[in-house]
Amino acid sequence: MGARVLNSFNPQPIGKKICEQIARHFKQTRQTRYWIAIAYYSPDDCYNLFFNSRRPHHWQRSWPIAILNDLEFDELIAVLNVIRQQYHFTFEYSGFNHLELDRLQHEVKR
Amino acid sequence: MDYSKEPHGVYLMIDNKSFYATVECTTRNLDPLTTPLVVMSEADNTGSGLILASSPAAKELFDLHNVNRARDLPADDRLLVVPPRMNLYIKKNLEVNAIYQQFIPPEDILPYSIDESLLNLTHSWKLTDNNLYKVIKKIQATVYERLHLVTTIGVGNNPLQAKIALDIYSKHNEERIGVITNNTATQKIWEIENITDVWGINHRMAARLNKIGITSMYQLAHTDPHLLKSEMGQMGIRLYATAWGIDRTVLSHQPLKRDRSIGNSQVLPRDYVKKGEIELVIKEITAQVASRLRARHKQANGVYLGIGYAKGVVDEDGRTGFAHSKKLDVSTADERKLILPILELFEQHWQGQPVRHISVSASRLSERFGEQLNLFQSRAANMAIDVEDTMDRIRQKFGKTAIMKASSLEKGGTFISRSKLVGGHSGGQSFE
Repeated sequence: MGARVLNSFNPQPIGKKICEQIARHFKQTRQTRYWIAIAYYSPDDCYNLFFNSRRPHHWQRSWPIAILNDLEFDELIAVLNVIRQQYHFTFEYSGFNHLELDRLQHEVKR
Repeated sequence: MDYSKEPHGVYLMIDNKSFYATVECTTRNLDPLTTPLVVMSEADNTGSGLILASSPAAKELFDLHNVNRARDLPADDRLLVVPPRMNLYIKKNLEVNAIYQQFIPPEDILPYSIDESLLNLTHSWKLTDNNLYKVIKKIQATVYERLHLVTTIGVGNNPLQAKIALDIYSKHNEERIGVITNNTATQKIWEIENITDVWGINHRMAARLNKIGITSMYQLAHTDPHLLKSEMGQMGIRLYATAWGIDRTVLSHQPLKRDRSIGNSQVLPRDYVKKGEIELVIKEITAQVASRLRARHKQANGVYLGIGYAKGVVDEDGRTGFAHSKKLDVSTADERKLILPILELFEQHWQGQPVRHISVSASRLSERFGEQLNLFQSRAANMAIDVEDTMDRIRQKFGKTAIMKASSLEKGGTFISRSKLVGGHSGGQSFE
């Protein structure tokens, strides 16, 4: 699978569009924590990405930035690495099994 | 009351618990029962923000309700605020109804709203199991397993009983199932304390009932139905039947629908005071109404204009707005022919008050048979409808903003911003 991905899948366009979405919502504010939540959503077999922020004594906000259908797990890792080139927010994963979490921790750049 | 001749069907009214909020929680792998999440629309016309839905945990922790405003939200960092994604909710609603179709045929399902559906299981429940309770639990479990959505269910011998069972008795029990049957209808309906909790009775209706001395369902059931009819017309009879839990609706019978009107309305993002700006929005809404007419192959012989003034503003007669209609000389689906009489109505009745709400309707509808040609008009004017038909096709293929009037770029125009909304709220702007 990995070999096919490397040969035929180009993560750049998807990654860049997600970065554009992040840019729409990211307003650097003091004392605010920003992070990206990546959730595997089993009913639709897709990956949902959210841009989240949290500031003391304010509501948490969570903006949907992408719904990635038809994406293999290796392709997701490639897309996350494209986002990582531009933004260094923490990635927070949910809905993944241990094996996948392990790969995400090791293969997505920090 | 003799219920032996009343329908003895098996009806379920199923509600997706805190639907929008639950969908938002589950797409994030959060538990809707423990995550305080609110879905807040920040469209221009909602002021600082309008809460569309709250998760059960948000309701419990912060005593939130739908239609709260952003200003009512506590500044608490436990609270998660997310924008609405109307397109996603519509998709999920279709998926839920597709699951119901695995239990019963489509003609026995009536989607009642975006989060409620009425199911007639009378003839089909035994195909799933010999125990009705198990069938109901299986429907709940299937929706939860496939979509992670929580459902509450009202069960009744008719649709009315199922709806009241859902609204009053299902939401506060662990099973999330409420039941009203012909045998228990009077007891369960008459003991409802607040009359406005009953489906079909809002505060205005309660005030009308109050005027004739009715403050409870028991009193309503024991009022002379002839008096109710003389005081409230057909509605009085319907309310009387409600008080006795009687409903003879046959779900598969499609009632003959009379096309009364097609209309659109808008709450403006601010108070509009300039005549030109108000007229621009009226024209935009009329264009939308005309386009909907053509999409349904209808044409109109009447128009209606409703104007609501800004908050706190009243005219010389103490009214907070006005609404007038006009019969047209010809039946038409041509936006230009609809706009003129609507603008005339505005010109006649507007006295300079700031405006916050505009609604436009096309009435006296008929099947589209073509435009009346006018010998005294230029050929171009007579052909205008062809241009509008072409614009409709371009929009269908390439999107609402693919072609539009240049006037929508002027100050006050709302066409572009509203084209991104679904039901007045964000359709969801993430990348897909």
